[in-house]
Amino acid sequence: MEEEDAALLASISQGSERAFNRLIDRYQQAVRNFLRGVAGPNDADDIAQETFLAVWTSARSYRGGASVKSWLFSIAWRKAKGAQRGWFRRAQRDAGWQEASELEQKRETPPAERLALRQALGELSLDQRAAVMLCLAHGFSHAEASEALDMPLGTIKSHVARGRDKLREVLGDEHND
Amino acid sequence: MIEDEKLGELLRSDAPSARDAMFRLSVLERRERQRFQRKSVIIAAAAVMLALVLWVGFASTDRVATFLVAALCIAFAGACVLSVPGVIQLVHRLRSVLASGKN
Repeated sequence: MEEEDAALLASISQGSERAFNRLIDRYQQAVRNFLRGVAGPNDADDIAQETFLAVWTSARSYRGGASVKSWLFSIAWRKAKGAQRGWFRRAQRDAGWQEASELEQKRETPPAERLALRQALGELSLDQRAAVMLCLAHGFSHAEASEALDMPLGTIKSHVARGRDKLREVLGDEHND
Repeated sequence: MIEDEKLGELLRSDAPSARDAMFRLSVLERRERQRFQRKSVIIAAAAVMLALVLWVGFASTDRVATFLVAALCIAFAGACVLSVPGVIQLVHRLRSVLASGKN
């Protein structure tokens, strides 16, 4: 799988459309899910598109040190942090979160767990959300997450532990209700 | 107490579908838009330079100088049109070299 990913990236750096399409198909679900957890549902797809565009333009810069998956998520993470910095986008995102929740409530009654999860994720810091999403939802080891998020291993461990406790606290209440 | 596995499942419950052609098309559309914008900027810059050179050339009263400037303009315009893909590739390469330098 890892060798196949590296081969795909090599082809992308040569301008292969087919390889680019395959890479998108392979990782779009995971990257978008990660970004939904980190940046919220409104901005996630926009940032995910920017992430894949960055892959297209900078595939040549991949050196092979980290796995392709880690490299891809590190781009997504940098883009998410960049989006977070803009105050205008932040205001839009906050409105977007609310709008998305309202729309979802109107469309269907969302599962209580999902709403509680969003609320719980909203209470975590951006770094904690990223660490939790990678390690708990996408099966990254602490070392891989440390590489992808460019944070020290100890920080990742602490973010995951605190994030997990917080989620359990909020969702545990939900489960007990 | 919720197990990690259950927590992971919950965190993945918001995921989009595994196959989403619309998303892929959006990425490709965005890439083409970017390419078009880059090409437009390069062509616009070339046009401005060409106009400047023409203006300087035709302002001159010397016929030989005017002819030379006009010939130069035509050659320059042709080179710009032919070299747009090359210039874009060069920009890409420079960007990836700079990006790898940062890493």
